[in-house]
Amino acid sequence: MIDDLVVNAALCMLMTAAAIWTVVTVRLLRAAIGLALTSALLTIVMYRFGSPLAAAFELSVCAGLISVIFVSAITLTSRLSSDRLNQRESEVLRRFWFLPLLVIIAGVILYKTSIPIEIIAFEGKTAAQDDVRSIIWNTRHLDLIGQIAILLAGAIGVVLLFKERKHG
Amino acid sequence: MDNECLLACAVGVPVAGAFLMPLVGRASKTVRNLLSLILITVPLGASIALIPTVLAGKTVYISAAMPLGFNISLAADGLAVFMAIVSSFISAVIALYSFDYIDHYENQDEYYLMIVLFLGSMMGICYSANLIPLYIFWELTALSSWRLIGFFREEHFVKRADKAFLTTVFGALLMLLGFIMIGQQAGSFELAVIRDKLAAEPVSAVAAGLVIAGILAKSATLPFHTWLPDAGVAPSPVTALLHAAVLVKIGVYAYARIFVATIAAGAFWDQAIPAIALASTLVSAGAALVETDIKRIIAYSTVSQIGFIFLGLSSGTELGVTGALLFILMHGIAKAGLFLSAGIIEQKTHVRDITKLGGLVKTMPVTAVSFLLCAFSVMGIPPFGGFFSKYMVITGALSGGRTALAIAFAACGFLTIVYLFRLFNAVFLKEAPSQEILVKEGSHTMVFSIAMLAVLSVAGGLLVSYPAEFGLEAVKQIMGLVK
Amino acid sequence: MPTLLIILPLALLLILNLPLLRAARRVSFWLCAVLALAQVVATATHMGGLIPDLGAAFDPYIVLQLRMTGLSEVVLLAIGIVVLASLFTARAMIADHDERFKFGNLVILAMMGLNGTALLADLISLYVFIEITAVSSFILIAFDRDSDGLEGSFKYIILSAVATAALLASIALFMMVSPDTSFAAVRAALAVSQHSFYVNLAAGLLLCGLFVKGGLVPFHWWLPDAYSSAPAPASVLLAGIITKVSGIYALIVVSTSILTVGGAAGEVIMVLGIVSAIAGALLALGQRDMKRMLAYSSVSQVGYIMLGLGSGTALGVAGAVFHFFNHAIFKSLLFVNAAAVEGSLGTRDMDRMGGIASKMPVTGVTSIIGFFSAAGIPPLAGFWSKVMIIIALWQAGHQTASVVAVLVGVLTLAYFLSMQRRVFFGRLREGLGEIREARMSILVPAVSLALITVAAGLFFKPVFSKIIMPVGEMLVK
Repeated sequence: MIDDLVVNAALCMLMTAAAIWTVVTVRLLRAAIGLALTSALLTIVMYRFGSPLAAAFELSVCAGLISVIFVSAITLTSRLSSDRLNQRESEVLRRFWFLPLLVIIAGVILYKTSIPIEIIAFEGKTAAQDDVRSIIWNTRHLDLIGQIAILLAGAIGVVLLFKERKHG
Repeated sequence: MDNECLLACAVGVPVAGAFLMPLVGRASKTVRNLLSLILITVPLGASIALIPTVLAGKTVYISAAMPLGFNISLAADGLAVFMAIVSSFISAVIALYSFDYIDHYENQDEYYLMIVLFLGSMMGICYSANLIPLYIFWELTALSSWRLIGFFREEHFVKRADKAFLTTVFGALLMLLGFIMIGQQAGSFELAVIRDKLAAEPVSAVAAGLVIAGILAKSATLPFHTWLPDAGVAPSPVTALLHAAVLVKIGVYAYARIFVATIAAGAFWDQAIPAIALASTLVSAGAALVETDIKRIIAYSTVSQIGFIFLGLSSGTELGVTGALLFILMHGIAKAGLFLSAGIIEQKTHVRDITKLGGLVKTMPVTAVSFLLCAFSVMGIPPFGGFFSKYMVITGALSGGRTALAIAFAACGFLTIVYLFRLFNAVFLKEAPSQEILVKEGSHTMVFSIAMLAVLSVAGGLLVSYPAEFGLEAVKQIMGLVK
Repeated sequence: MPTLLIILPLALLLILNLPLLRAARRVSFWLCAVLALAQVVATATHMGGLIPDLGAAFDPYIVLQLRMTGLSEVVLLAIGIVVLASLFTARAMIADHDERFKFGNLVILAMMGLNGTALLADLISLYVFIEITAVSSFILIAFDRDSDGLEGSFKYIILSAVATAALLASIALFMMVSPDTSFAAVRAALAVSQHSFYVNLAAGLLLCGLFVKGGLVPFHWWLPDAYSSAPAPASVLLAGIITKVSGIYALIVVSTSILTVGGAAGEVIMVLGIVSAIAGALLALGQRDMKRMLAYSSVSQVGYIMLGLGSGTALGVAGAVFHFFNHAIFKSLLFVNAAAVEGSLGTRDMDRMGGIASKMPVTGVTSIIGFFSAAGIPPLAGFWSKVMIIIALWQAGHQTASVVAVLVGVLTLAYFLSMQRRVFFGRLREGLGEIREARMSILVPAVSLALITVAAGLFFKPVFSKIIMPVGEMLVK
């Protein structure tokens, strides 16, 4: 049986790798996939760490946000030739070689210094321990309506920004 | 009408009525012009109607409660009524003059709106019995003078209007801080309460200094004096209104109201104010000697004469303060006459440089004589009005034990004579550099206005006892309250 | 009424987009405007206690944890007014029917987000509703699909993402100590574990997130780009109310109902307020683009609001709330004026304008009213709120801050004078002889906003004692 710690550490590393990949790559499609991967891995990590509420929000809200980012990014850029793309990619890789190193160093420092947790807990159950399903369906009507509105906004955005403007 | 109603009308009618100007102006120019004159004479009439009550030693007081102690309180005592009559009378003459002067320019509606609003806020300042409405009206005069100075809309004119606005608002904001400090110390912004509470404990030198900074900025005294000559780009009736008659006197009046009638400025400022006034008088007299722009010379002369008023007010003697009040009256009339004469010359010849002018005495005899009479009054030549006020101010300083200052100011008085004669000579007497500038007199209304001011300058000297008695009564009232 | 304020915009949006009701699109503008007007009327009458709350009948049917306080009323009123102004501006500036319909949709969505933000009392809901507003405004900024707008939108998205991350992290930390995320519960939990590192970190993150949203220095650099590149009606909405509610109002609520006012948070808020007020004014001085100048002016004015909030006294917070309202009104007014000028001249470069007040008198006069209110010239509304803040600072012993607040007034006056000189006051620039006054649907909001500014100043007494001061006292207990 695999140790929990090992799984968590592996997931975190994967997520970091995906995040770095998203930042470094010059192809939009790959960046989009990287971001989605990061988001998905983060959701899993959150769920495993006992925070299903946050996991649910990560999935739903980031989905809306990501679509808008890519819409604007795609509209902003012009296509490069594939030679130019490859050249650019190696440039970027050379420029950002230190990124993984930085992440590892930061991890080591955080692990070594580990800030002591000294929360005087509220007497009784804290919000972090509640079940996400019961929260959403019983007490959070307002936020559900909000989520609907965000999705609607995202939909309008996609319709509006993707459509070619009428000329004349 | 009872006194309270008169007081409310004196401030309320012009302030509210000013905003009718653009509406009325759309219908008829003549009606608008007449209405503006009426709106200016209403406070004049109301103030004159208040004279008997005030001379009996009573104070008329009305107040509208506002949160945070920002009560809109108005009070009429001798000082306020005196100042209100002087400024509304001069404004009325200037408004009469502008009917013809402004007739062929654009934006006349705005002009009359601002003139009436300006006079209304001036009335507000005169009658304010609370520091906050005093500040509000103070800013209203600043904003109307901003529009008036930039009236001709040329780019560098507007820049100078901005400069005047910025300088006076900078001072006003410092003054607001000072007001807040005084208000905190006394627990109220009401002048009467402040006077009672702070009779024993003087305000800090910082608070007094902040208020004085605001006053100096408004009255264009060193080190805030440069906006005034620059503001000479405004139409001449405006410069007369701002520089001579009303705006710069606001600062002086506020000094009298706050530091003579209400609280003591403290030992430091009692020494510093006359010194600042002397420096201001000297520097601007020097500038007036070398300037060649006719309006700038008169403007510097104003800065210079304001110093005399400060000298009188800070002397602490009844004679000196009364002299300062008379000075406000006499200088207002005479200086308005000078500016309006300059306005006629400028409008007719389109020249303001005195080196390119000359010989106008032949073609503009009435203007020349009026100019000379007003100049005599400003110089302080007996028996003109200006002589008595200057004499009283200097004697007041002497009896207050400031001999050196009095002598220095007397020397400045001599400088006044020199630069005004230089101006008169250059414009009217010396040979004309070209025949083109020898032009006819201005319109009848305009010439009538300046002739009236000149006659008043003479009458002010011959009948000096009436305003002097009233001034003395007012001074006794306010000085008695302080001591 | 609170429930209706959230449900109705959403319902209207859904109805307008029903495939069967294509005909409704033609009147969509008027439907949106009527909704916003209804909000203004309902809030204003509710405020004055004129009529009973008609919407109350709906409240029990849907469980939404909303609270209607005096503060929410002020904010809701401002939201309604600015949304109306933006809609009318859009009517003049966006010619195409279909485009205008979409614009109306987004505005209604943003309005729903703003209403929710103004009404709720829960951290997670706060986050969700701020996000609704944010997503709608991303699209509004990029509405014209030109590269400027997309760039401004992109910057806003990035900064907003940072703010979102900070907000979420702080919510997560708070959830570890608190039974739920309602303001009251978090406040109670904070009182128990006051000095813990994580709790302080959470509070710091929360404040930082809101600072970014509100565009305070040093998080201000997205703001001028977003404001100036957005289409005119969108920038009215954005500058007038969106950043104000999702940043500044949220700060007011969070710092009064979760954190203790006047504590360490108060100090931070005060310092940022001073820095923003000065830096915003200095940066505004050097601008050529009219909308950028107004954007930096926003940064500076928001500094004033922060100063009032940081003073921690009832008077100061009341002043902050009043300045919040005034700023919403006069800044939308100035942006409406900017839209009018841009519409007539086709440029925002102030060096290519001059003296256009003679051709556009209504725009010129209303811009002067907005400018006077912003610069704190009495007796307009902006003067009273600034004086309240200055006096509150002085009474609370923050004399330096008070002096700064006064002197920034001079800088404010300076940049607004420079705008007036370059745009409106002065001789008409050559080549501008052909321009004409803006269309009626821009003049209507300009004149109405100017009248509101004047009225709020002239009726300071009832406004202060009936509305503003009770709000301040409620927030600082």
